[in-house]
Amino acid sequence: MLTNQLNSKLIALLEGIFGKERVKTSKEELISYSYDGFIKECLPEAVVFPLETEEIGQLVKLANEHRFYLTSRGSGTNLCGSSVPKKGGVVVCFTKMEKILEINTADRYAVVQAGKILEDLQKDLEGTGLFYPIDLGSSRIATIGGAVALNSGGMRALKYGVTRDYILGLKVVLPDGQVIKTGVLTKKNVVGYDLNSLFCGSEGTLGIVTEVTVKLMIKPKNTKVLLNHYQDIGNACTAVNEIMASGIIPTALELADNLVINAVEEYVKIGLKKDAAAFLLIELTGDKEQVERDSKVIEAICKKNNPSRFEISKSAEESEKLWLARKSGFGSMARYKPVCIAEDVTVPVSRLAETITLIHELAKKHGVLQGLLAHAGDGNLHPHFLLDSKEEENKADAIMDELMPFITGIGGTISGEHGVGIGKKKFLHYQLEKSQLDLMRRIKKLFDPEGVLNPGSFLD
Amino acid sequence: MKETAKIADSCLKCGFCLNACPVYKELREEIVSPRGKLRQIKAFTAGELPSDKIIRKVLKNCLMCGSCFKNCPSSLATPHAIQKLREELFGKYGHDFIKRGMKYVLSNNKTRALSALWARIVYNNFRDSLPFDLPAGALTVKNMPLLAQPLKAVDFKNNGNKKVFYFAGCVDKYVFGDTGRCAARVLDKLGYDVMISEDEKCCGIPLIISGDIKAVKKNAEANIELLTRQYYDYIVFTCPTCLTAFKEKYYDIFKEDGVFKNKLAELEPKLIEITGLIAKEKKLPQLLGAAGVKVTYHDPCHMVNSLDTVKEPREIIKALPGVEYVEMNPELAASCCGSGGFYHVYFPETALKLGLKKVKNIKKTGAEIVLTACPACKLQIAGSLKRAGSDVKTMHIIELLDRYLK
Ligand SMILES: Cc1cc2nc3c(=O)[nH]c(=O)nc-3n(C[C@H](O)[C@H](O)[C@H](O)COP(=O)(O)OP(=O)(O)OC[C@H]3O[C@@H](n4cnc5c(N)ncnc54)[C@H](O)[C@@H]3O)c2cc1C
Ligand code: SF4
Ligand code: SF4
Repeated sequence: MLTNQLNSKLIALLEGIFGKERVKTSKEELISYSYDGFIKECLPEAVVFPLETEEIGQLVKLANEHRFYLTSRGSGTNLCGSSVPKKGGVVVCFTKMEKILEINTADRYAVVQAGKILEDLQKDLEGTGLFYPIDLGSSRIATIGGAVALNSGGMRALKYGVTRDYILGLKVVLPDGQVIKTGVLTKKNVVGYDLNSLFCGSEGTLGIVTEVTVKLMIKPKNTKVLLNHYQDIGNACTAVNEIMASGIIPTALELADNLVINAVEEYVKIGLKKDAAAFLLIELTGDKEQVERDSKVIEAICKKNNPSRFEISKSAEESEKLWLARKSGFGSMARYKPVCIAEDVTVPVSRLAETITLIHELAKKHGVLQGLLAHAGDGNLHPHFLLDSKEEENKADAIMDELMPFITGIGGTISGEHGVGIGKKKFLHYQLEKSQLDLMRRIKKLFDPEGVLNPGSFLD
Repeated sequence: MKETAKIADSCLKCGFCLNACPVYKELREEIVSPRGKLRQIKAFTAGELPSDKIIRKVLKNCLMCGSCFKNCPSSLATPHAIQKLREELFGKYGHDFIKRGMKYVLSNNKTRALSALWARIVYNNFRDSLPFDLPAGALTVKNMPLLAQPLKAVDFKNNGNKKVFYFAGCVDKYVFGDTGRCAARVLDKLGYDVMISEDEKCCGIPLIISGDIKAVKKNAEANIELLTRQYYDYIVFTCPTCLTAFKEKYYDIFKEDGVFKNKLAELEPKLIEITGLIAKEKKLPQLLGAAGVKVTYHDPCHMVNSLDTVKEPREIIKALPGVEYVEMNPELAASCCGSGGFYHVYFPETALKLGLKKVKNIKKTGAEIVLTACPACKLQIAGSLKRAGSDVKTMHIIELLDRYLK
């Protein structure tokens, strides 16, 4: 057990590393780091803002020596409570450590500090013809460090994959204060265990990431967006499956259900079909000929499945307009009730229709308002439960308790991209057998025998 | 207080507002972010804070730019919650000495005119002969503009044209009087019958945003009386912030005063920002001669976040024959210049950083002139450019139009 009492002597030592300005201890400051995008809050005892890897090395040594906890934090937008300091201690906040260290156009990679905001990285890359393909719903504020720790997926995962697929290397401070550099500058590399992948998705439990080398891609020049409304959700899902079987890989293949359609229409008024069961939004990118050719095939598939309305963009502005239907989804429905919980189950894509039907049935049975957004091509479903009381929160839990065995039973996962944290810890047993969880705990123990980093995580 | 608590309670903590907040973007500390401010407000109303010392400072550290509201998926009125709490804290602490001085100057048209006169004589004569420079908010004295002749009252010609009351506001009346004169000339050329009045009072924004809405009530009443005294087709503003006083803040002041609230509501459809009015004018291009200049445009926060007037200024600029327009803000989102009420006086460092960032973006466009539509932005941008040693000129759009009137 570590102590979680930071006395004034320890604060002075922290100030010795970071300077007075970058160590915060007032009640007000502590409250500001007690929350993230999840509901539960926990107060830290101090917050520090590193600027350099060396400072973190010293901090970790201090934590081991004086036995206090450390919890890393980017922008605090994760939806599973993995950045709140569950057992107090010090929050290591990366928001000021956000330099871009290198952009290499010849080998198409960039080296950035962990606090770099994804959208800011994209801006830095403007004019190079390159881009970082991971696009989260939260890209405008999420940091690369947070995205690495949660292996974030997002909107373009269908074509481009997830964060893990773009990490070439990491600089990591280990729980004993040692600094290591993982990876190489090539995509192919089979020397030793793949530590990049181990740290990626570890929810900050194995090390503190200070620098990330990300692979960049050539930015496609042309975009086409198709928006189809369906009166029957089954037809929409059949279209998804046929698209996936066509050999064409859309950049995005998104689905929204009737509640989302109505919420968006009420809020942004863009003329969606309010009686439709769902819409499918498909984005194709690439060179002009390819996009034209692919869109014909996709159009035929969509039309074959009886859309009640079919739209296709003819210009970049039109594409953007159609995207508004999808991008306004979260915000529009979040307005209905004070609490909005975004779930994140993911199933093999052939099971999409029956899973969505089950979610709708369960929401109805328990009397909870639910709106579904899905990265349908990935089988990644985000049922959003809109709640206004503790009682309703319990109902949402009851729904998940009924849903989870089904999800894991058909080979799906309880979280496709948001992470486990404290939010989904209670469902962990549906997916991980004890032997697997024990192995993970042993890995944690090997890296962090004293349990300094992110205590109270999904492993505890 | 219930209202404030409700806003704070409704926050989803999604963080969308963080990178939209100019203060957060500079400082990168959650406590000053809109999400952080709402959480502080929640803690304060729940009595969880040891004192109000820090929250006062946190709430002060806000430009009232409205960007958090504009970018919140739930459209939470965070600036309003901040304002309400500022009002509560004002009740306890009153003004600091800067605002006490302002209150004295701005509450009364005589003191306002006198102060401006005094400032013009002393400052205009000595600015350039000062052997040293002095800080003035985010800028320095030598980077501040000289004060122009104040704007004089103009009466209607009663020529049968549409009647426009031009509400100039303190800055375009006493600092940038030329902007006011340009506005009057352009409106006249467009066929409006223009009136400017000596009786127009300070809209009160500098005091309102410090939480002192009581002090502004008199000015607000006088302004509403003035504007309802006779018939006007339009009441036109060159300062978007003054306009938001009428459109947003005055409703709050007269929440419990049915008479004034009704008068205000009647006025509402006539209140218009000048580029919003002019953009409707089909004949504008015919009135303008060729302008061989390269320009860019800075979106004032209140134009974007409160008035939704984003397209109009661009339409007008592009209506100028021969003008080369370079966009500096393709996202069409506000990115604050750092002026914001009296923010630059209280937080000069952050304001200066924001100003210099703006300078960088302006320089990138290669424009000779940066246009804007707000006197406070003009002051801050012109000063920042001068401070950075740049010779790019800063103008209100209306001044450029006036320059090229045939
Ligand atoms: C509206 C909204 C939309 C979203 N859309 C998506 C989406 O499309 N796809 C998706 O996958 N997620 C999405 N998310 C979830 C979230 O934004 C992502 O998980 C994001 O990557 C978190 O980044 P952050 O900087 O906020 O990290 P935080 O929330 O601060 O931290 C997340 C985790 O990373 C750890 N961590 C942070 N920095 C470091 C570091 N330097 N070293 C080690 N560990 C660290 C923390 O301890 C924590 O466990 C969304 C969230 C919201 C609110
Ligand atoms: S009004 Fe502007 S400065 Fe104030 S909190 Fe909102 S975004 Fe930040
Ligand atoms: S964007 Fe709105 S809901 Fe989200 S954190 Fe900010 S204030 Fe809260």
